[in-house]
Amino acid sequence: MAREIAKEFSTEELKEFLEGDLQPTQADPDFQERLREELWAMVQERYGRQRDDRLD
Amino acid sequence: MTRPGVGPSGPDGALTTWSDEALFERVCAGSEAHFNILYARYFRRIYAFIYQRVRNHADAEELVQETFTVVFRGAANFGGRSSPLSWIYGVAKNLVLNHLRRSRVQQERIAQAGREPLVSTSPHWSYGPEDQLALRRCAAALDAQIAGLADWQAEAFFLRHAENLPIHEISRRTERSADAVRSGLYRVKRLLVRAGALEPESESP
Repeated sequence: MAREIAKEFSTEELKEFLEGDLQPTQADPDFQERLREELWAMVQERYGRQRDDRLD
Repeated sequence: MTRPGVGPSGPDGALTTWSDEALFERVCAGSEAHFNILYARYFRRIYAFIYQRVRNHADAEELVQETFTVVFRGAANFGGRSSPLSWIYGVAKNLVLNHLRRSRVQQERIAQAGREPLVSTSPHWSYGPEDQLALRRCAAALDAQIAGLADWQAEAFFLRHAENLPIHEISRRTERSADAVRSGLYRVKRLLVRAGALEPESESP
């Protein structure tokens, strides 16, 4: 997998993408939550919803 | 099917112990808990990556929405063709490049239009001094809010509310997805409410 990622990313690109984790959130929290809700509604419509989704 | 994840560490240990592949499998099986972990793992990365390039929160929000929509719509089909990380990155990168290309074309059109003479088609209105003061204040508040909008969002709002076009037609004209158009219209209305130009109850898209 590492080889495959290296094929599609330059090192700088990968570093920059992952460094997004370290930056303070720039996004509007309302947007983040609203988008989460919209996407989850879309996922449910597309794939259905399972009853037990514990993180076992 | 677990390995140390590449996501951000956090108080929830699950963020670091589930692989992207395993999370996608569970999302496609309908698990909200696993969906939430994937979303949290990638939201900040994608937002930061996109914002760095477009430098505009309105455009960044639209592109983040499109990226996640493409990713979760295709989640069941990507089936190991590539790693989720490179796939998601690729989607975000392509959408940003397309956006920047469209923006350049749009800017050229605006520059072209700016060189043409502007002829007013509005009927003649007469205002008193108080009306004029109120209008100027309203215009100043609107200007401040509208500065945060992307050109296409202002265009979408005009098409929707001045020309009464349906969403699918606005989507076609602005070359944006219907979801992006709805989201853009919602954002414009939110800004207008903040500027005091709309009543809060009419804020929903």
